[in-house]
Amino acid sequence: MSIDTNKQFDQVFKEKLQNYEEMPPESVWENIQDSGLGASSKKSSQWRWWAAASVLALLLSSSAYVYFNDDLGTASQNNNLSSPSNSMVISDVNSKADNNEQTVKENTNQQHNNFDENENSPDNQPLVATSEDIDEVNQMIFQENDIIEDVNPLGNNDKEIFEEHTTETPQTINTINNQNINTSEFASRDIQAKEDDTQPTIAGRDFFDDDATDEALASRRKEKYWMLGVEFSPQWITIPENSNDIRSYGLDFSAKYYINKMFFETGIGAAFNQDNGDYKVEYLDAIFKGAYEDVYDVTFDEVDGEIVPTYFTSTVNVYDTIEKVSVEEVKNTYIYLNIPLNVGYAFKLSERFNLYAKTGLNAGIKVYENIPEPTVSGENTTIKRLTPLYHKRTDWNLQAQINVGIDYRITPKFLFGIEPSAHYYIKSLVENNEAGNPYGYGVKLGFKYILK
Amino acid sequence: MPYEGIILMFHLCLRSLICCFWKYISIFTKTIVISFFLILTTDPCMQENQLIKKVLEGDKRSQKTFYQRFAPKMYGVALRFARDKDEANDMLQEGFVKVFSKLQYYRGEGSLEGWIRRTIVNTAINIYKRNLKHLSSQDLDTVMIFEKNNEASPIEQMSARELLGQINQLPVGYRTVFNLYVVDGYSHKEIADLLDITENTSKSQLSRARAYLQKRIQRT
Repeated sequence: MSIDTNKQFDQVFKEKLQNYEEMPPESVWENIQDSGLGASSKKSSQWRWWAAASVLALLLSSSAYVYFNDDLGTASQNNNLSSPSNSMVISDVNSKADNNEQTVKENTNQQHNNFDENENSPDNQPLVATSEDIDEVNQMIFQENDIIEDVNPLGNNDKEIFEEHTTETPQTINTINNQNINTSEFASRDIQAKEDDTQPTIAGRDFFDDDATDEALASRRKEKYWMLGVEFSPQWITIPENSNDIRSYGLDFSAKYYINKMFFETGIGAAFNQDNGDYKVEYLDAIFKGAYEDVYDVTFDEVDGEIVPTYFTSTVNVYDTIEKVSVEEVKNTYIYLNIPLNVGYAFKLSERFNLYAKTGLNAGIKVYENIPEPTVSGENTTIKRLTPLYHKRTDWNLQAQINVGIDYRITPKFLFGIEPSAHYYIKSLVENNEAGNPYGYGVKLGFKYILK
Repeated sequence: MPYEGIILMFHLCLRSLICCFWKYISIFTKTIVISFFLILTTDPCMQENQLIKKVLEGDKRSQKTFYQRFAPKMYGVALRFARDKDEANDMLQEGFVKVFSKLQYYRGEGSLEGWIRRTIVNTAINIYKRNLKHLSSQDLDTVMIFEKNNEASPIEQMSARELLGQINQLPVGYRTVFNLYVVDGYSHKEIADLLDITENTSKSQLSRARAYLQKRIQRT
């Protein structure tokens, strides 16, 4: 290419130098560090994150412990069930089970091996059950009889085999009301399962093994119910690049659907937000310097043969106008409609207290905003230009939240709860927050009612 | 806490949820859980924002990462405006100190690199103004002769480093105007405002800078 014009000449320089890169010497970085780098850095907020992470880790570990440790659940359940009025004790039901039965039991244990055999096995400790449990067991026996009849096409000879097997397997059930449960059907079911080389079904399994018993209890305690709540929820929100924290005050109506210890929550709430909105105000300030009389008309009259002028004047004030710039603060207010969707897990601490943890999303929709314009002091000021320095709010936001709470049972159905929470805005509630999305901390205080 | 730590905790949380409750929850809830997981882990703007955030928090490692990411390009800018490497080093140092101290005011309007580049250029201009009283003006022949030549011009055969060497030889006033106008794309009006000179002076200095460079390049 030949250089015909200045433009071409310039173009060569531009192309070759615009993105020219060269590594500076290491001493430059050392000097930058020595010059007090980071002195103006904002306060570190790392401890907050570590605190949030610690709470989360605690929640996860405690939830996992409670979930996987059947001892706790069974023990507490047994305590609840063992009222003297309606309980009966089934003791030592399987201690002399024959080999065939043991084989079937081992198969079933492989499917549900999440308990401590030494402690929970009916071989080692009495099983406590309510009359409801016994009813369920009877129901299972009833179903099993039907199944055995259905799947047993072999006729009377096979019946005899079952009876023989029963006599070889002495199983007794001692109950308070001397109610005996005939287990011959179960034994025969086990033999049938072994003969068919198939896994026994729930109905066909020996209900005296740990898993069947556990299931019987679990199905009894599989509770589903609603919990309604009304809560006051203040929250403190931090925008990373802005020192003006946002305070939010909310009133939430929540509905939780419990399935055993797990629950799903949704609801609706309103949150009132207020933050400082700074404006850069460029204005003219007129400072009074003095006044003079301005003659706007003159008339001439003849008085005694002389011409006398009459002056008509008006007072003119003189101002010295100065351009000024200031930063003025106003209070911006917003109202949001909040819709949460959470999933959580709760467990009982004592008769009065429940502990729960939940996580999920909360959508916030801006339904109202009031952003007043600033004013400047002074009698003769005129605002020329307003430049907002605050972060404008987005129309909607989405926050991920982790909550942990404690409910106090005032009555069996009426509770009071305290619920600290940590929030991170996945979709920010302010625009242009390049230093990172806002995060916040809050607490919920409110009353809840169980609908059963 | 670093963002990655939070992500890790959410991973753990979600994994635990999935492991413990997966068989109990509905497809709708599963969808919500998976979406939540994906949103958290795929924010495209997060990297640069997180770096800025960490720099503002005073994290030394992030500050160095930030410096290393932009320093080579900015050193290229400083080398154009400076008369030698020592001055370029000082210019880069002063510019980056300004960048770190003003980073909290970066509003995300335009690219971060553009914002840093403007800061470095402004630093160069400030240094130029500061040194102005010590400098004496140099007059040059304003006649520029560009003869038609079908062969490749020597300027095109020169490397960036060689062109930079030529620019460094310009008197500081010419060099500043030439850099601002030709390489950084400022208009004469903007240059006039920045350097407190008239537009005609800017044009005149640019013209002289071109002539100076042309003569030097032809001699090589």
